[in-house]
Amino acid sequence: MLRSLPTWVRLPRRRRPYTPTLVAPFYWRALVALAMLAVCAFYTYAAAQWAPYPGFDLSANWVVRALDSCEANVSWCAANGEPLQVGDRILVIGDLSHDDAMRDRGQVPFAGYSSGDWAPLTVERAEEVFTVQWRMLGPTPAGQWRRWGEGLFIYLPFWVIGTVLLLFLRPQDRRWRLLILFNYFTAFWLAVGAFSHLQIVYTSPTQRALAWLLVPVYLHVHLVVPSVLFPRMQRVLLPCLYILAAVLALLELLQQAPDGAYNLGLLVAVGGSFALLLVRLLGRFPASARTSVYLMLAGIGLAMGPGLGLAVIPSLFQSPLRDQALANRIAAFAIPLLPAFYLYAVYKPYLGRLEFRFNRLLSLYSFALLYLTALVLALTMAGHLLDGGLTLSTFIAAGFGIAAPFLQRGFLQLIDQAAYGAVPDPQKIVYTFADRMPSALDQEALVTLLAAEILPQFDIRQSALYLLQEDRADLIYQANVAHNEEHEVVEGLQGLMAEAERFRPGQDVAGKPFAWVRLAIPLQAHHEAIGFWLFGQREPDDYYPQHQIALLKTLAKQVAVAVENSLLFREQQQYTVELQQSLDRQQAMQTQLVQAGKLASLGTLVAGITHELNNPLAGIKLFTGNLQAFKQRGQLTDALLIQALADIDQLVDKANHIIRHFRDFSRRSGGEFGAVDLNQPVSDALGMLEQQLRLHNIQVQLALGADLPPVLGDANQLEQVVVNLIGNARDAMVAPSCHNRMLTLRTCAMGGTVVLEVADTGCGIAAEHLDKIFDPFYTTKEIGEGTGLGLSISYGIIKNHGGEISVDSAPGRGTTFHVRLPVCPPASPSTLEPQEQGDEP
Amino acid sequence: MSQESEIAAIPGHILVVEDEDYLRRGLWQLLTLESYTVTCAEDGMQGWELFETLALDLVITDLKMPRMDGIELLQRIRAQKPNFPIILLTGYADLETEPSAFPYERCDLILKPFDQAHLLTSVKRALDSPGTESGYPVRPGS
Repeated sequence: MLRSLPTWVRLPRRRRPYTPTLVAPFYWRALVALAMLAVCAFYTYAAAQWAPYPGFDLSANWVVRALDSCEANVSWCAANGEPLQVGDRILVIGDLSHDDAMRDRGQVPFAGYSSGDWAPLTVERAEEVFTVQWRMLGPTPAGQWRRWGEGLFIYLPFWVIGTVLLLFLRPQDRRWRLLILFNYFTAFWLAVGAFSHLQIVYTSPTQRALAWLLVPVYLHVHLVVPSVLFPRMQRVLLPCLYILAAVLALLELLQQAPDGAYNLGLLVAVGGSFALLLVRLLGRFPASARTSVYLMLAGIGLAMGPGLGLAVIPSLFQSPLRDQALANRIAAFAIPLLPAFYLYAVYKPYLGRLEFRFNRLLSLYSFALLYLTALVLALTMAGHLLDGGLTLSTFIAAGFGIAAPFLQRGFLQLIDQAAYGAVPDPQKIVYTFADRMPSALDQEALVTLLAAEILPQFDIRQSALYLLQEDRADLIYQANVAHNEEHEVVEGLQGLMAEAERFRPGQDVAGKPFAWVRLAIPLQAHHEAIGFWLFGQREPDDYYPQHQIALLKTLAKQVAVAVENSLLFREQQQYTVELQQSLDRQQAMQTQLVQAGKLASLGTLVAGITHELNNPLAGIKLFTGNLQAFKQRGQLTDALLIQALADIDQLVDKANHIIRHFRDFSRRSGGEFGAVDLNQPVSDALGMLEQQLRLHNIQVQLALGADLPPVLGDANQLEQVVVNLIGNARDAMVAPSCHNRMLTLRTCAMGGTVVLEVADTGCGIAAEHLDKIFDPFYTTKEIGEGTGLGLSISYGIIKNHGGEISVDSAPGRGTTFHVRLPVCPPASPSTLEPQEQGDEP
Repeated sequence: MSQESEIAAIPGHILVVEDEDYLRRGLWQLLTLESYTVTCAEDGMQGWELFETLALDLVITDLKMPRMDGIELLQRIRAQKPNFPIILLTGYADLETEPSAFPYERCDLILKPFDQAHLLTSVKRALDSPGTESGYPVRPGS
């Protein structure tokens, strides 16, 4: 049952069969990704290689943000003599005034001035306007590297995440397309926007145009991810938005839009997206979407948090950071968390084994950034508020170091909570299971243990357990699962084989049997699958992370052992019951067989018995009739009357004797053993059959030994044996060809046994039949003449008496049956029954 | 015990073949009372010997007897005198339920225990119907 398994039960490690939708082939998608990178890199390249580099950075309003240090460029510094300071506002560069540049953003400041040229600048400082000759510095290698670094760093995370999505992730549905669009657009916008103040290769209008285009893209993304919002409104609203955005973008490219209007676009894009995310936290949205929203919000918070914190908090306390560059780096390093969390939130179910690693990577990265931010802020605050020196800083740093492990554990749990909902405690589960399983010997107890104690810890709502039998699967229990038809079960489980022990995202299996199953774990015992444990919905988002799958697999192994134990236990019980039933049946059959044999013997007797009974009855009737006739005719004499009455009396006695013996013989054996004189059953049996023997002209020779020691046995059963043997002898001699018809019955004591011999002069038994004659239902007689039970019954009875029965025969020479019965031990004379004294035949 | 009678055969001479002596006696009483001439035999063999020696009108015979049974006796009689009336007495009830199993004509089958009237009717009928085919005289002596 358990050992031979259905042929379809294998545990393959196959990839999930995947049928791609209408998606371009991989190399096309790779080309798109490279093109995207090339476009972004072009702007960086232009900014680093082409853009004029005067030796300082300007903001969008042409305010000097930073000046190159003199240490690396001593001669240049000496030539300029530091006429510019941070905060100076430049009004005119060469021929280009600021107003002109704002009007035509295609104009590049310092265009045409190369390294070493003198550019005339009109500068405004503290409401004082003056003109300087400024010697162009660059482009210097250091400045170019900085621009490359800044440019790449800001958009590369979005491009990487977008490319990962584009090339590797499935399902490739609307959400997929929108998320790619989101990432690539953001990357593009950042690549252009990073250098829009340089106004090189038209970056400024492009940046503004892209800012408008971000509005429909961002809103569209957040209307579809993580769950679809307002589907009907989308159909109308989105096309309008796209068209409007395209128009506005075009206006921006043509520089016809009001200055600064694009900021409104950015506000709408970011604010609207945020609002759309928050909407999902209001009631009546599925919990699964809520989980994704939490993760996305976490991404936004973690990406923006460090930067905002480092900017806002110091300014609140009016204590500038000691190392602004470090703060900037921390803020920049936090940016990739946004697309990463977005990807994780939406594609968590599809990441497979990478999911948990990705989760941990994000958690640790986020924690490191938060930790650094907090440390920087703490040190700054300490320095500002307490005017602490090195000692305090050291203490604070040490405190942070000590707290780090605990904080990290807490933070990981927080992220887990957001990603997985309830976090089951493996230790507790294993304890519970190990504690309760040994007592769950039957399946019901096991199911109760699983359903009531284990699964709730995982927040699992849907679950089912199937046991595989040879050609079918038996449902052991199911919770919150629709009933499946038998064929569906087999088909469904076959389908699940390929995806065993892996999370199944629901989208691509909808409609198939077991579409509800998110995870199928085979129950294995001795490397063979004996069943399937299926899991479906669970709080909050039906997702089963890898480490929980591992835990469930461990549990499944224990469940398999428990199930097998229960099966073995049940088999054992069933076996015991069957054994008992079989024993009972055998006993009943034996009793029936004895009875059947007796009836069979009776059957052969019935003819003679009716004959024998009918004869005296006929005699009685005849005599009474005759008396009446004599009386009517007045010829009734006393002598006649007396004679007739005496005859009748004798006949009644005769009939009574026949009936009594008949009754004694057919009486069901009570199994009472006692000391029996073997001559008694022999005489009784002969008495019953004598008439028949006489009818068949069979001569009887009796040689009954005198003073036989008693044997221990049932006189009734022994008589049955003798009847059977005499019956057999009679049947062997009734053939017309058999002329010498002699039945010899002999008893004698021999050693510790009493021997009975029943010999006939009949046709004998052929050698090939000889060893089968004691088998039940074996007969050489015609159908309807014999049951084939007589000798078998006799054999059983004699064996039961501790004796032996054997046969000695040859065709044509007659047959002799030898019955040997052990002498009754002298210890039990009290059991000696008073033997009924039958009439001598 | 055989009991022969040489009384003139009116109304008929009947041979009773029966192995139980009380039945023989009873039948002899009954038939004698009805003025039949009755001869008795202990078994088929003796009956056959008597049949061959005596002039008989009817044989009443038991079916199961030692040495020679009723059927064999019947067959021997019929072989010699095909239309000779015979009444068979039997204790085997099977023959009553399966009359087709008994293929002999002009042969009454009477089951033991029997009614005197029934037997006498049967006897009367057997004796009254003349053995036309064989020309055997029903009443020898008449």
